[in-house]
Amino acid sequence: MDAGTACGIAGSFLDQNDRTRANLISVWTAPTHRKRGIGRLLVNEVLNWARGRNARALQLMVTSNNKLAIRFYQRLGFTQTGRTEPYPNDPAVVEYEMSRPIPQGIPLSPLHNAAPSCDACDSESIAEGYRSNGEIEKVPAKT
Amino acid sequence: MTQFVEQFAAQVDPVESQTVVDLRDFVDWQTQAQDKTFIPHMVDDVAIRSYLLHLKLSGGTRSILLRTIASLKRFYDWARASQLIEKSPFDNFDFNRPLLSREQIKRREETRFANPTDREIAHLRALNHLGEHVNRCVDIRTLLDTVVKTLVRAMGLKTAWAFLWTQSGLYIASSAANSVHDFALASSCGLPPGLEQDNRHCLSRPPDCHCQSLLRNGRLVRAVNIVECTRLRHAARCAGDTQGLLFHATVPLIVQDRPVGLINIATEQWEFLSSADLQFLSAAGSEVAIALERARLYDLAETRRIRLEQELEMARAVQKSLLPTQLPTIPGFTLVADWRPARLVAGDFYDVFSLPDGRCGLVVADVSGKGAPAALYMAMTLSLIRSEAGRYTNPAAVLVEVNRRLLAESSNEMFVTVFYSVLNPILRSLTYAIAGHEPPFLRHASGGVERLTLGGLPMGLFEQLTLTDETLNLESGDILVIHTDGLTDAVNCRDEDYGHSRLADTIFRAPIAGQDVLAHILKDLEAFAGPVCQPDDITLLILTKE
Repeated sequence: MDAGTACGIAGSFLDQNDRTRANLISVWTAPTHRKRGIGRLLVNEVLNWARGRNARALQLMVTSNNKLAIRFYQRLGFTQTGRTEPYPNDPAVVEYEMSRPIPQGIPLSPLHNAAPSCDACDSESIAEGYRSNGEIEKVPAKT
Repeated sequence: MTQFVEQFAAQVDPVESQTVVDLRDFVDWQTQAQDKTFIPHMVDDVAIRSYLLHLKLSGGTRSILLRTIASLKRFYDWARASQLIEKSPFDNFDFNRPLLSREQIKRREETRFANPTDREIAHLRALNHLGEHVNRCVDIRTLLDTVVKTLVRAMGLKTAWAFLWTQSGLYIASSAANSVHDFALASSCGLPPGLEQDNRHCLSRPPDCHCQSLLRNGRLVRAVNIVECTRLRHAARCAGDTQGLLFHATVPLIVQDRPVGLINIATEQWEFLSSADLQFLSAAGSEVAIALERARLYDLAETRRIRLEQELEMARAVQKSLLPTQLPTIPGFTLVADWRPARLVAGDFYDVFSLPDGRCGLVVADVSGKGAPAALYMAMTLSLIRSEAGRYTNPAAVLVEVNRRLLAESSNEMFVTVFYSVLNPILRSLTYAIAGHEPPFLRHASGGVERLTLGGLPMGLFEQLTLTDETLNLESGDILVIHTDGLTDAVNCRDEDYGHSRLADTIFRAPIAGQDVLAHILKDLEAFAGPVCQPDDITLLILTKE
């Protein structure tokens, strides 16, 4: 929230088959608040949420040609797991699975594990909606 | 030792003790080889021939072999008489018939390989060849063609064929689609005329032959040498030329304990192949089975991919049909639009529709979701906006109601950002609301470019959605550029994004007419991005006050 206005949304759910894995979905940054590190704040909030539920890893799917998003998540400590899936909007394109471990212990501060600079990559809706079987919790960004 | 042997021994005359000894040796060998309790069965002919071959290769003389055959025949006759088995293997097969002398075998081996090392090299070369080729091949028929040719060449033979058990789910050969038999002849090479005739009827006809029955009953777990082939016999009886072929080795193809087919390599004599040959064939069979499974999985994935593509093509057709084919004529205003889906199914959409009192609704939106569900979500959003636009005058009220209905009628993993406005051409006013969407750019007739600042949350996520209306009074020459983030997020080969500043600058420098502004923006985008494939859809709707 920024002066009472929501400036970002991220969703997450725990994998039904493996509750130690959380999935990051539905990330949205307000158009008027882009390139201000909101995406990083959202991911950190989701990491804290998932850690509070004993999840050990946070994962997401990103389309192979969305280089800005891939680089953004890499800066936040995500790496490609090697698993791919056909992109549901076009089977000719694949999605990469990316994952990062969730640190146990004290909650992450907004600046913890921050990207050196997200100027170029903390852009628009970086992850699209994801099919899920679980309950989704929406985590508003806090500044 | 099993109870059957003891029961048999109890009723055998003591002077015939050698018969029991021969039987015990056979049962010991079979128990050891199969690692399970011996139970006599009518299809034990394969085991008997394997044992006789083992005796011969261990130095057994012809008289020992003949005596063993007689001993085993007595046991199986007793088992049949005792109703342990319905038929004896000796009822159907003459085990004495094609026995070669040791000298004959030795001579034949010498003609095949100068020394044992050559045999090993030939086998390894064949396995290597198979590994190279079958690992590249995902077409089952081509794969099996390579396999049968490689195996007969490595064995120094000519004829082989492969059956696939269609019930295994691996494969249904097109030629076998109408067959009543569930073993499909999937590949063959070097068939004699007797097997080729009548469209290979002798090989493809039901019922099961011996080897098929063995595979179906789970009694074929590794390569065996000595299956006397009823199909070859039948072909010979029907006056077909089988070139003396009477037996075949059988290599079962087993995927994770699930039999899927077999390869037969035909010979004139049943003891043609040595245990080293059989070991090689078993190894080859394992390699081929894995390749078959991989080909099946590839086929499955390909089928799914094609089905998904077809579904998406349909979704795309539906999406296109929902977009306006022709933009309405609005007195005093010009409208132009461009819609560029990045993928088969787009997330972006736009709409322009007439409202009472000459007003006009303008929508540009972007769905966040994937595949056909997202396409349906888009269709639903579009239809809800049209429906609610007839009930509410203010755009914010329309979007709040659409949000409520989206939440009620869809899962909460998708959302949509929307710019919705109502144009009143008479008053020259445009009232708009924005739900999480990119604010448009407004170029004033005076030359300045401003980015509208109103915002709000996207729709489809939260029940509480607070949106406000804003009204613009449009002057002659004002141009409103409504876009989606695919435009400002467009990237070039250096992974730089197009960005809002460049878009504002481009709009500022554009010629005055709306069509020209659109062309100018698209031209500048092309100059920036070049041939780079864009990750997101791009939509532009440009309104010009004449």
